[in-house]
Amino acid sequence: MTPRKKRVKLFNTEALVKAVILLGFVTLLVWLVLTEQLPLYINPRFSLLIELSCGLLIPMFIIQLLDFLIPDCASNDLPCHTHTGRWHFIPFLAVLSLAFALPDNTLNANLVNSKGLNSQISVISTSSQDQPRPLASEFHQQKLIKVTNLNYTEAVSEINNFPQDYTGKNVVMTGFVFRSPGLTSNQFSLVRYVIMCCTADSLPYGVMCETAAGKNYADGTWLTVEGVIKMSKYEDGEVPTVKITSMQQIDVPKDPYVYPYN
Amino acid sequence: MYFIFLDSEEVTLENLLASRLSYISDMINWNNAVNFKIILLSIIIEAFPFMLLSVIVSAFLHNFVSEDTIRRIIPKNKLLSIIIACFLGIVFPVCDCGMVPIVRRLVLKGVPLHSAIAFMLAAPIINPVVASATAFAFRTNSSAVLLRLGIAFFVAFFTGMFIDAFFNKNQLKTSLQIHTHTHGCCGHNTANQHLHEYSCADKLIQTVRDASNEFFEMGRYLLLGAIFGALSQIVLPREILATVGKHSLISIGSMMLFAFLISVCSSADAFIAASFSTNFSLGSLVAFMVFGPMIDLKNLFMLLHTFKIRFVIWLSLVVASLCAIAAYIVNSI
Repeated sequence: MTPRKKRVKLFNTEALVKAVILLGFVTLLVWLVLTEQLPLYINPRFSLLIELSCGLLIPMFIIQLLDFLIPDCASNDLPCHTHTGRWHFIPFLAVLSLAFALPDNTLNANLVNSKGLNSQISVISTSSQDQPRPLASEFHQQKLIKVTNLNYTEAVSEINNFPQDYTGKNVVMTGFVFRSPGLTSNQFSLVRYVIMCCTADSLPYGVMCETAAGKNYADGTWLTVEGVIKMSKYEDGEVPTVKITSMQQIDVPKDPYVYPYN
Repeated sequence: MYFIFLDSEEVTLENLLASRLSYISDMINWNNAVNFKIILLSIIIEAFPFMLLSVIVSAFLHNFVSEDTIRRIIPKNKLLSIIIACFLGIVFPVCDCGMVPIVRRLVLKGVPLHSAIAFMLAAPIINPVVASATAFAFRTNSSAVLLRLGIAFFVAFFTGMFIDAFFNKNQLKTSLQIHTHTHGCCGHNTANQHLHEYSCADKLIQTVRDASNEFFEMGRYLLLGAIFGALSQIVLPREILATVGKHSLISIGSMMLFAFLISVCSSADAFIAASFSTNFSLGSLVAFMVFGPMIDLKNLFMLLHTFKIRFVIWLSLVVASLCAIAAYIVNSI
C-alpha cells in the first residue's frame, strides 16, 4: 500500500477499533444464539430482533473494516476526520469485556430482595378476584396439580389467590429456594423468575413451602418438591403453603425462567 | 460536656459510616455481579435493534431525502403538525431507545423543533406494539391503557406547544461541540450535494458508514444508561418504594423517579408497572408508564449530547410536571 498522510493514519486506528467493537458485538449475539443462551436474556419470541441487530451490525463492520484497509475510500468525501476521543469507546469495551469475562449464568436468588417477592403481596390484595381463571376447572378435577413451565404463572396464582379451592390437594413444582424476612426456620418460598420481555423486567413469583428439612437448603438451591396445599401462619395472617412430603435437589434447569403466554 | 458531645457525635458518624460501608460491601458480591451482567446485557440486547434501526433511518434520511422534500411534507399549520407528530408512532412503532438520533436528523433536515420533540415524546407510547403490551399487562384494568395513551398525547402535545412558544432558535449543539462525521466540519449543508453528486451505490455505502459513526456516537450513551439502569435494578430495594405506594403525590414522584432510573424500554415497562398494581395508586403507575419512555437516564445522556443543556433541562421539567399533573388528576378522580 502507498504511504499515507498522518491524518489518514489516525482515522485508520479509529476504523480498526470500531471494526473490532462491531465484530465483538456480532460475535456476542451469534454466540448467544448458537449456544442457545438467548432465553437467559430475552424472551425467545423476540429472536427476530437479534437477527435484525446482526443484519445491521455486519454491514457496518464490513464498511469499517474496508475503511481501515482502504483508507482512501473513506477519506473521499470526508476532508476532515472525526476527533473521537479514546474514552468514547470505553463503554463499548467495558460492556464487551464484561459480557465475555463473566461466565454464563442465570439470575440468582439475590435479586429477589430488590425485586420484591410477589406472592406475599398478592395474598393481601383482593383485586385479583375478577381475573380470568383458565385453569380453575381443570385443576378442580385433579388430585395432583402439576406446575410446569407452561402453566407456571396461572397455576401459582390459582394456588395463591384461591387456596380454599385447593386445600388438601397435592402439588408438584420446581423452583429455587428463597427466604423472605419473617419466615420460621422450616419455611421458605419456592420461586421462579417470570419474564415478559427481557430479564430487566423479571418478577420473582412463587409459593411458600414448609418442611423440617428446609434449613438444609441455601437460598438459590433448585428443588423439585411434592406436597399438600394447606394454610399456615405467616406474619399476621394465613397464607397458602405447600407442606412438603418429598423433595429433590436438582441442577439449575436449562430454561430457568418462565416466559408466560408464549 | 464538650468532649462527651464530640465523642458521641463521632460514634454516630462512625456507626453511620460503618452501616453504609457494610451495605456497600454487602452489595458487592459474586451473585450480584452475575445478576448485573445479565440485566445489563438483556437491556442492551433488547435496545440494540431499535438503536441500530434508528441510526440507519437517520443515515438514510441524511443521504437520500432532501430537506426540500421534508419541508414539503410537513403541514404549515403548527397545531396540525404537532398533532400529526404525536400520532406518527402508529405508522412507525419505535422504542424510546432509538429516538434521539432520528429526532436530531429530523431537526437538521428542517423539521420544526416542536413537531420533532412531540414525535420523540409520543411515538414510543402511542404505537400499536406498546398499546397491546400495556393492554396485556393490565388485562384486569382496561382503563390503564386508555389513560396511558391519553396522557402521553396530552404531555407530548403541550410540550410541543411549550417549545413552540419559548424555544424558536436552534437548540441543537453546534457541530463543533459534537464532533461527528455525519455533519462534522463539513457542515450538514452539504447534504444536498451528497444527493446529487454520488451514485446510488456510493450513497448506500455512505449511509452504512454514517450509521456506524452515529451508532458509536450515540451508542455509548445508550450503554452508559443501560449500565446505570442495571445498577439501580440491583441496588434499589422495592420495599422503599412500597412504603410510599398509596400516598397520592409521593407515589407519583417516586414512580417517576423509578422510571427515570431503571430506563427500561417502552415495550417492557408495562409489565413492571403491572407488578406494582397491588400497592400503588393508578395515577402513579400511569405516570411511570408515560414519563419513563419520554425521559429516562439513557435518553437523557443522548439528549444532553445532542441538544443544548438549558433546553434539555426545560424539556425534562415540562414533561415531568405535565406527567405529574395528569397523574394527580387521575388519582383524584
